[in-house]
Amino acid sequence: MVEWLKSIRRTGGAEGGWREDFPLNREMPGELIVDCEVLEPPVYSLFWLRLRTFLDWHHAQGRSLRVIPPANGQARESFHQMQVVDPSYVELQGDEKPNTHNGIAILPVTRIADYTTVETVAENAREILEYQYTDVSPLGQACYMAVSELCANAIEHGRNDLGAYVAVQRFSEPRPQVSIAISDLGIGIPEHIRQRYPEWFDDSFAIAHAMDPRISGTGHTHRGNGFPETFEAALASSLSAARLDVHSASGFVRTQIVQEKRKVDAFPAAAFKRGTWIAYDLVSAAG
Amino acid sequence: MPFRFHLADFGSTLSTRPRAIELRETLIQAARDEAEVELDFDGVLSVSYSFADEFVATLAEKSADASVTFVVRLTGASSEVERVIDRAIAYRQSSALASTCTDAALA
Repeated sequence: MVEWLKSIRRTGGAEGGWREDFPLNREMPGELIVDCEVLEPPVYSLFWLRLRTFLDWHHAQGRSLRVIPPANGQARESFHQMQVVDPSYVELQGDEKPNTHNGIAILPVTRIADYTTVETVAENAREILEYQYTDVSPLGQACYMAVSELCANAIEHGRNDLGAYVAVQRFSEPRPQVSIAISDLGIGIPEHIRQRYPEWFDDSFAIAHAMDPRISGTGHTHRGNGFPETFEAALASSLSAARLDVHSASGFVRTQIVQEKRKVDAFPAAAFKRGTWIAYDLVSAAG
Repeated sequence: MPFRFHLADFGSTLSTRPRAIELRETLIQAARDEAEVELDFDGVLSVSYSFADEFVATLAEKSADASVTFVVRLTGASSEVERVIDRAIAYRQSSALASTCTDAALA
């Protein structure tokens, strides 16, 4: 038995939930323990998505898996509400379910393999936001557009054996906020875009341009508006700020909406990332 | 009397391109000999941009180039749904214009 991620850092909130751990490596031992005991809130949706992908991928490789849940009550509540672990193949060690119900999960970590599921999760997320939580209800339409457009992209352009994943959480502190994460282990945005624009060899450059209207690897002039329309829906809703991070291959692009203006920053990635990982945080103007 | 296609019969939210293609083909078959089709969005809470593009904007394009016999009219759309549809149609029109300009430049 090997303990993996024993040294897991305390926060799942750094850089919108992105961290360089959770390797998808065929050479790892046959039994893995993921120790989340010291994890502290806030734990963003992208962190849970990365953990779930790690577990599903290694399960598909035939490994046995055990997870130690967070000791912190709020982090453990998020862990349970987000249904990060599938108990049919992951053993939970020393787990006691929290008694509080703070309404963190809007959409638990969900694996999507078809368009019907995309429609269902987009509709569910919008309904829950608009009808159950007044502090984030103005973000319902923006969330719906992001989940439907970006999940459909993940299914269409990010094909892989595991499918795609989506998760949505709500935070009330420091301001009412919705945290959306979407991922797939497909070819990644840069490779997809280079099918049409082979000269865009820099990954961050390719991702940054994928945010522009009508930029698509499909070659159809009416396609490639998923990201722009996601931003448009955000601008049309009552929010104070939004931030969308895209990690794919060796690229990392951050788009921020502040005071109704978009700002795009492209950075070199610290390491190559398989697939596409998107974290989208919307901060409500309410509250 | 226009042929009426009630979108809410297929769901209160309409999201993806495959769903739009399916509904579009259903409509084209059902309205084969019609002169006017009314797309009734009453009861539809949300549409995604992809759905609006693949369903409404494509139908408008087919109507304009006479690929279908009918003209299309929208009714019952909420302001939010209408906003998304308007953007999809505007993108299609500007894409067609851009393609025409590119073709002309290449000729």
